[in-house]
Amino acid sequence: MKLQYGKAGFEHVMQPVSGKAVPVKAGETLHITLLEGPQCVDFNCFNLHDYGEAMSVGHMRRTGFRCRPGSIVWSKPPCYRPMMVFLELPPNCSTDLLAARCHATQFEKERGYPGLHTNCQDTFSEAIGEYGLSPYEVHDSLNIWMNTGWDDAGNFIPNVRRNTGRKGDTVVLLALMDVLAVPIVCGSGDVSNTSNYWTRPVGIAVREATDGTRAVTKKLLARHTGFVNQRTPDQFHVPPRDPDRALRPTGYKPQFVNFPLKIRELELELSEEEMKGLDRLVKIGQGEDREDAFRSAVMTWYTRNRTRQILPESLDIDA
Amino acid sequence: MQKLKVRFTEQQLVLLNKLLAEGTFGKTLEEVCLNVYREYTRVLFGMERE
Repeated sequence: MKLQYGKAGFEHVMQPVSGKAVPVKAGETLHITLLEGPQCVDFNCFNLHDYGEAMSVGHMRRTGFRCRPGSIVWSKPPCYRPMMVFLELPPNCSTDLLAARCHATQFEKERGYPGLHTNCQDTFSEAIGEYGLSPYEVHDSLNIWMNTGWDDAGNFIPNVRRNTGRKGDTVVLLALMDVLAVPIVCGSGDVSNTSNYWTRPVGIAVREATDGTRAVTKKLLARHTGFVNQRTPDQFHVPPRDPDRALRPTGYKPQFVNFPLKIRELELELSEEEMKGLDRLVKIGQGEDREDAFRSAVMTWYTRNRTRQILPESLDIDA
Repeated sequence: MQKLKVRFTEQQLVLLNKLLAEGTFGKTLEEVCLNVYREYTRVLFGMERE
């Protein structure tokens, strides 16, 4: 389906590692673009008029562990309403509905990071803070450009697979209700394959509704709403504690972790043979270029040999 | 020998500095990175026959 999109009413570049909470009204489209290359983008979504109704990744998982064009972003029951729909999803953009958002303790516990590493929990928290939401309101993320893998026993493949995103890739989501969309640059990128051991800026734009997007919205709402069990808070036996759940800017300025991310360049001397090794790594898909291949090699070795990563939990303790 | 410039985030260097502290991979970050790269490719390509 190729739709005509409206003009951009909002445009923003999310620098590493930051994010942005942005209202997208029904019929409008959110465009997320890789500006420099592979980069995992985590995503949260709230009903703009009731933050209690948020995206449910668990329920989206019922149609598979990955999204495809046409996949619906569902809100959690008892509402269970279509919030957005994927209109465009490049074939090389793997999405993920399995991996929980990364968080600071994870890097401390599993990677031995001695301090506060950039992470999606904190980035989401800062982004939604602009609309008065607290870190408690961050929910499981839909991960875009995340090449997760799993085996037939359901084990998560450690360190995921290399990111297959490409510069210029654009994902388009159409809002089916008024939402607060929250895309963020994933904070784990520089210590895992999630973003190929680097972190890159991502462009976002909200485009105005057109006749085409309005028509799709209307048809999908007809298909996916109108069920008597799609409940609203006035039907709850126990009402929500917070009577004012509409989202609006509060003036809070996000304080993203380690932002802006500091970069240092090392100058190295390699033999001709070692340079050929880099070229071989590029040929087998372990790097975009020599620099990327070298950095990925070093950080992959470190990850495999100096971090615990995800270990199965057990009761091997003396009671 | 050929020169190669490689950028690292400060967060990555925090971890690589732990290898520097171990003392077995080199006395500078540059040496550490080169020796880790050599070890990585030795394991990855070392068993192949030309």
